[in-house]
Amino acid sequence: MDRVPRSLTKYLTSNTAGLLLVIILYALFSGLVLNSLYPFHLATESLLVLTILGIAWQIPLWLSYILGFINLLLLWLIVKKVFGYRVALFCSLTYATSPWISYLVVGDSLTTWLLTIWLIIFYGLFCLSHSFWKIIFLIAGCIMLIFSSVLMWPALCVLLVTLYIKKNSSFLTIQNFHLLTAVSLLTFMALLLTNYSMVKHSLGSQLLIIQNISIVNTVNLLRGEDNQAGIGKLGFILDNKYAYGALYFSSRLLENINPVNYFVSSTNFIRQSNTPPILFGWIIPLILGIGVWQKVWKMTRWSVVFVLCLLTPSLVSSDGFSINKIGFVSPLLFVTCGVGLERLLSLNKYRIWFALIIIAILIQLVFVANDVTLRENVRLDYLRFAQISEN
Amino acid sequence: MHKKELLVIIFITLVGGFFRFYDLANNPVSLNVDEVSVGYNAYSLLKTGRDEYGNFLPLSIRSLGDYKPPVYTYITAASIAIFGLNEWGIRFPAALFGTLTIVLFAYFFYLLSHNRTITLIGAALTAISPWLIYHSRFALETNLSVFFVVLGFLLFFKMLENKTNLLAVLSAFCFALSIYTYQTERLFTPLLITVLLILYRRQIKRGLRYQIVNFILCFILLALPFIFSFVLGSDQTRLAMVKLNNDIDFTRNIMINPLIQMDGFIAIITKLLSTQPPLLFFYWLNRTLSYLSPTFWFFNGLGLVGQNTINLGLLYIFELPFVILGIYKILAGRFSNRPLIFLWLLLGLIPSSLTIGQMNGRRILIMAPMVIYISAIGAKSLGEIILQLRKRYRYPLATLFSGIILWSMFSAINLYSVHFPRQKGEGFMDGTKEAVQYILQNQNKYQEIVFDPVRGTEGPYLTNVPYLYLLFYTQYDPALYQSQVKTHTNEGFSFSKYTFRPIDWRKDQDQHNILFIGSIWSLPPKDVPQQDILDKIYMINGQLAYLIVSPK
Repeated sequence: MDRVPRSLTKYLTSNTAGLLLVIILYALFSGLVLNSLYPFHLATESLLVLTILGIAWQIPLWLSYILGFINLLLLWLIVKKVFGYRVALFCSLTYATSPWISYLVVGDSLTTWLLTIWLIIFYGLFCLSHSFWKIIFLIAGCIMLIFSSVLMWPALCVLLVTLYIKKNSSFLTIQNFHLLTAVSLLTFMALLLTNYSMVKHSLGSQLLIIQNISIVNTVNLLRGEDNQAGIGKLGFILDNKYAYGALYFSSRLLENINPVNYFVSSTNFIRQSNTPPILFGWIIPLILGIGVWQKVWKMTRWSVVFVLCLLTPSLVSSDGFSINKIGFVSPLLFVTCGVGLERLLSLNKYRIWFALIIIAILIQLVFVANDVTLRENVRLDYLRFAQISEN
Repeated sequence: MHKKELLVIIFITLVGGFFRFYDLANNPVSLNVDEVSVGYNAYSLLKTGRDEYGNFLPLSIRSLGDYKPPVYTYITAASIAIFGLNEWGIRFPAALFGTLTIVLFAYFFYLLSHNRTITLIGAALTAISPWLIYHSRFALETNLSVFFVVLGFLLFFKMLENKTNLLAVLSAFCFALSIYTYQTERLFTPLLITVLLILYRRQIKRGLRYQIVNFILCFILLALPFIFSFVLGSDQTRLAMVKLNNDIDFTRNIMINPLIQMDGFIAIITKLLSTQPPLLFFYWLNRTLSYLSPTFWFFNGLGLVGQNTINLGLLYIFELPFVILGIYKILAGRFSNRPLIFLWLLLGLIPSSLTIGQMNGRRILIMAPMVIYISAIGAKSLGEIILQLRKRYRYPLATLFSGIILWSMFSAINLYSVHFPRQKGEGFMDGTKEAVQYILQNQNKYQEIVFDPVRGTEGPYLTNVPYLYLLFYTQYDPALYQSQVKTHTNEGFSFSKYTFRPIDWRKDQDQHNILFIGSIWSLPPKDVPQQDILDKIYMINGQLAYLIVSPK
């Protein structure tokens, strides 16, 4: 008789139970968002390879929904391997309760797919020890990245440079690195040869922030005013495309690395939504997590590399900062939150804070769920109406 | 502090003073609606002891219906007595207190850090701060209130050291004065006093109880008229206007109440979460966090040029590493005043986040002393890091950083003197002075003067009060204005021969012997005969501000 409760206790404290709990939570929350918002589209972006081949197909909602679960599973596996069970649990909990992820999935955004690819690459890098499987995962990930979006190309370059610097380490042997680079280059060449003009067009329209029309217009306006004031030559030094572009780039970089942007709904999914990308309660674990990162130099170094890698697409994109387009940055934030919360739990005297944070998260989760159910569709209707009126 | 350091602070203050006083009357390009309102009410108080509405020595200036705190207006009255009713006269107090702030902040930094380098760097950053310079160059009460709060704080600090009653009373007086100077301080100052009493409770318990009782009693006594006005009077009106639940985004997009058709426990929870408090709480939290945007702080917080365009933030871009390093140093080092620094910053955010409107550098100006202090700590640390580098890195890095500082400063001067008047001149009612001057010269030829509030190119989207410009620039006798009959209609109002209403050219074109001052919004060029146009007034950016017309 006593074997059943013991095994039940064992099961409830096991890894599987934790994962199951998080999956159920995620299924409930994303299901609720789906139920409230369907049909809802965040972006009409298609895969690059399909655009080049002239195929009109977009990732269907059911696939996007499945990818959401796959991402959760991959994230769990990677974090568990690198940081252990508790961080994995908290990190997955952040994922499951994040409106950011649910909205991207329900909005059928390409970002969900890109997040899957990045997680596949990280899974290959961190979790697989066998050289063959590792390179298979990396090659598959890199090919899919190249085929998915031109914005991923600079990020891939950053990744390859990082891997080159860490050559012959536990990450990748030099032979495998050469193989990965060669395959990536070949894929890239194949894409170029298929439809050069389309690739060039995509590059021109999505990359090169210096070509951003708003920068050019602003600089022209400022130069005109300089000439009107009779300081044309001085104005050339102060108001030029390069100086202004550098400022614009710095501003973009700061917006991207500002943690607060991932917690406020000013960078919302639907105009004037009251839903933040990540629930406010996670902000304290995030700050603590950053504190833990910076104390461990090795971890700091790697986190900087991955931050750079994942932020590159947003930095070089010709569009402004958009929470809907950089969802693949989310794992970094989730992991940091997980690390922070785990740190809080490990400090005995701060356990009360741990409990308070969990309560705050749960309260906001209920609030957000209620708000999404009742009001988000009304806001969405308003947005649709506004768009129709503008057109 | 040594004599040499004091001389440096005097020099820094002179440089800061130059930035605040240079071309003060002409840049900002014109007086904005708040400035003319302050100016004419101060003139009215000076001449009659009453504001434009005839209220005797009011404790809250009704002004444009926004019930301004009175201190700046009374100080402006003194300035007008010396310099006259003109741009210089009404902007002088802001620039003067802005300059004095440099010395005050330097002492504030010294008292907090007891470090001469941080004090000097802090004073220099204060002197060149775009945030403080901008708010010292037009007639607004913001920097005056910051001055009083910091002075009150310094006197409080000194009281803790010297244990004298006089300092306690003076400190309470300065704090009380701040709540009669600007709206933000009405919340900030009592909160700051509470924080100070908690943070320094140990010193207070050690023989300062009597002084603290005096301090609190004095503050409450001086604040009583405000409390009375807040509970029963005009300040209640002001609060109702600006509180967060009136925010247009909140009422339009957040506070949506669809029909709830549910039963049982879920329905209770749903109804509970759909009430205003939880919705407002999360909206407020969101607004508070939005203030931490680096773009706002370093790239466009002052909004000197077009909306969302990168221009000038509250801090220079070169201060970014200073601020990051400063925060790091405070968190990592053993700073005795660490709780005070972060609580001051937090309290500084609260009033602004609780009120309607967009993010605004003016409403959080009270955070300036602590932000500049953090920046100064960071600058000192960065300097030390650079000095520790090898020579081959040190000089290029120092040169590069100096270049960025110089470029940022010249760029800021260029933005402020060239682009700001051209792009934001309309918001400052550029051209209205010239229109009034035309009226002054020609009003005897006409039996009525009709002034249309809609002007320039953004006319319908800007609030204009032409009657105040007319009163201000004609130096209209306040006693006469208060006693005159004002006729209010649905369209506007009139007194003497002046009428302020929208022009309807279809009807008005047949009215002769009347001078019309309007813009292309009401006087379309294709409908107005050329011979009827007497003059055109242009803004500094070359766009048409007013058309002066009289049908022949």
